[in-house]
Amino acid sequence: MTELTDTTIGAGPQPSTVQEVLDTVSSLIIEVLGDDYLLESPITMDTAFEEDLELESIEFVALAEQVELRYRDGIDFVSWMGEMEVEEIKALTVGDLVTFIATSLG
Amino acid sequence: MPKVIVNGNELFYRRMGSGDSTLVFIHGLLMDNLSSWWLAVANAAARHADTLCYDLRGHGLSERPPTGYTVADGVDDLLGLLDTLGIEEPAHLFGNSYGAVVAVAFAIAHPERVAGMVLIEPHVGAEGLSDDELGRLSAGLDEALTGLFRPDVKQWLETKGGRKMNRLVASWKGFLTETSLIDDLRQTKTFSDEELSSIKCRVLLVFGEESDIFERARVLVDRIPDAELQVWRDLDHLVLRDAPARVRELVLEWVRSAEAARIGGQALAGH
Repeated sequence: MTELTDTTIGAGPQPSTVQEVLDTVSSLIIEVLGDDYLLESPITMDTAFEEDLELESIEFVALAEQVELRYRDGIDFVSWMGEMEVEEIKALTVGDLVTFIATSLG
Repeated sequence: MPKVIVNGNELFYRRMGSGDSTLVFIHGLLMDNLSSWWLAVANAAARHADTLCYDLRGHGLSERPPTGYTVADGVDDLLGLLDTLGIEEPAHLFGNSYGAVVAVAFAIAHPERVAGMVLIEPHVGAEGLSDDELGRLSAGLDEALTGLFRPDVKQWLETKGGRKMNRLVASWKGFLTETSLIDDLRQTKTFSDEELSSIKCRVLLVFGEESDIFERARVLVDRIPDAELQVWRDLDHLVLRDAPARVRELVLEWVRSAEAARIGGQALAGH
């Protein structure tokens, strides 16, 4: 097992940050889906936007906007999206988004 | 939610990035909304330019009034949106399918607001096209309407459709049956040779080689003075959906070229 150095600890998000971001993102998803959100299973890091939540593309755009409003200058959402192919974006999980945000926030 | 009221209706838009050029992306009809451009191109383009994509009225998250779906309404909405957002300099328009029709009509009506256009599979009616070709758009809508009410389609939706598909179909049905969309589009006029030849900006036309509206390609490239045609192999009408990375590269190259022309123009003006 590799010993953790200060650098590796500093490079990733803190677990507490990840949980906070997951809670925030989950509430934003529920807000975007509105009455259509069915609480069949909780939103986790493994939940896929398209396959599990059946989020329409335009709803993902609305969610992206909410995320940007919430975290403002702390994240560069546009560049993150701009580097991905359409298929990659459509395969994103909640965990991918949460990790991106938490890593950006440091 | 970024929405503005334009001509009495709330329009949803996303404006991203910054730069000397302004890019405006216009999506296709009925089943489309700004997300197709947003997913494929707009975010990447926003790293180089002021980038705007919006939902046409009735589509996506924009308001759906019962009437007002002619191409002229689309032109008025685009003008109102640009004015409201303070975009006064000529913009580059990127239109997909029906969105390209709005772009062409806008460029004819307001040439001073358009710097150039990239038209992906433009569903533009022009003189010289066969009657079959001109009737294709409204025939397609009639077909969609009939299809959505077929018992087997209904059964499939109930058993296998899932939340997303059922929501989309309900939305399309509402659009086709509760608004004047089909009637308005039947009135879509054919652009005259004079109108098309009045377009002075640079225009790039992209068609899929297998496209069912390919007949338009030659007519448009012949009529529009500064038009270039690219025919992409192994693609049909759904170029943006099926070749998003290639469209993105094309747009980025267009932006680079526009920047180079702008800088070149400034250098010339300085001498």
